[in-house]
Amino acid sequence: MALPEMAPAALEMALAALEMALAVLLVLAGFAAAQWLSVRLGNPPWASPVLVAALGLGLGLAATGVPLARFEAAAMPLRWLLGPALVALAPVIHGNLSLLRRAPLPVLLAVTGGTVTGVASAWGLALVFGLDRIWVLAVTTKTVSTPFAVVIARMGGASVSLAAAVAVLTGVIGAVSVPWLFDRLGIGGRAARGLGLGVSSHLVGTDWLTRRDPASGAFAALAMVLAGVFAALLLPMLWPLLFQ
Amino acid sequence: MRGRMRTVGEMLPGVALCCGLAMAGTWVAGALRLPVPGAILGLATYLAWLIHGGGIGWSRPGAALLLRWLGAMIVPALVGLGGYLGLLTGVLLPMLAVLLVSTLVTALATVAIYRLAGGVE
Repeated sequence: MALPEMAPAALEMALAALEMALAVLLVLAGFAAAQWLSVRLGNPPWASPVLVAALGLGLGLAATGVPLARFEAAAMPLRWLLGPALVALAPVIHGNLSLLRRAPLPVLLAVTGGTVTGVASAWGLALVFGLDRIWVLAVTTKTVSTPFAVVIARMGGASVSLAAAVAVLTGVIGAVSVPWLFDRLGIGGRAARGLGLGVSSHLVGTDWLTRRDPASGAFAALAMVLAGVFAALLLPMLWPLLFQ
Repeated sequence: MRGRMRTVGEMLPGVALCCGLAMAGTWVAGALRLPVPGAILGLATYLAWLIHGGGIGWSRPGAALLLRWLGAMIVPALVGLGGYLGLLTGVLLPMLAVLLVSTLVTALATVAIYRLAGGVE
């Protein structure tokens, strides 16, 4: 009978499935708690739920001695869902198509030009500072929202964790500094401000703007998704040239 | 809240559609060796379909559910940053400088291009 030999394998599989379910539930609960906290604090950019949840979970893992690799493997289902969640961004473009139809060329030029500027400036500055290849790679995806950055990094063999961290941090830094700069320079106009914040500070910036000015936030949301799509088409082709 | 009253049945079609399109996109990109993430092909297909008037009503609740939890899907990758903390301390300041300067330059460039191209408010 093969049963005694199969039993440990089946048990192992059941335990792995249980561990996955536990990891996914932990992340979802942590994220929900971080969102609750962020709302209580008045949604400041620095208390981005993604950042707070990751910090809490990271500290929890360190305290309990669970190896990072084991947690990352167990949280695989969530990482897989990033693909479907990217597809789910299509209604965001569709819902804001009227903004694109109003001035298609200026919007598309601004988004693509802004994205190229984001990639080129980050890449150039990282080289000027003499940063290692791993960091230079990570900053080239900084100007797209995190789900896009993760998918692009995974495709190009860059560190997914660094790409995610750099993208989230860019959103936080941008949501704090870009509106300040716009105010100092007297840059008004809902379309211009929305596009500028959406391309440069993607998810966190868009969220910040939408809470204060939904009409301008719609431009930011459109710009954020379009910039992500454009970068996903551009970077996999550009990387082999930049990092030969 | 209306969102909480939505049933699983309302959300399932949209979630299944997005999962299916992401998988199909990944398969096509792999089979044709396209230098594009598969999910982007899925997104483009879904958008084209929405523009042609398909699936707007029944697919939206599921897509909205995925977007609501999108942040949670990023959390594991961010937790993985813990593995780089040793490396990060040495480059923290130049990295922050790169991110700040590049973000401000990107925002200004986007606004400038929009205006130069004749964008309206």
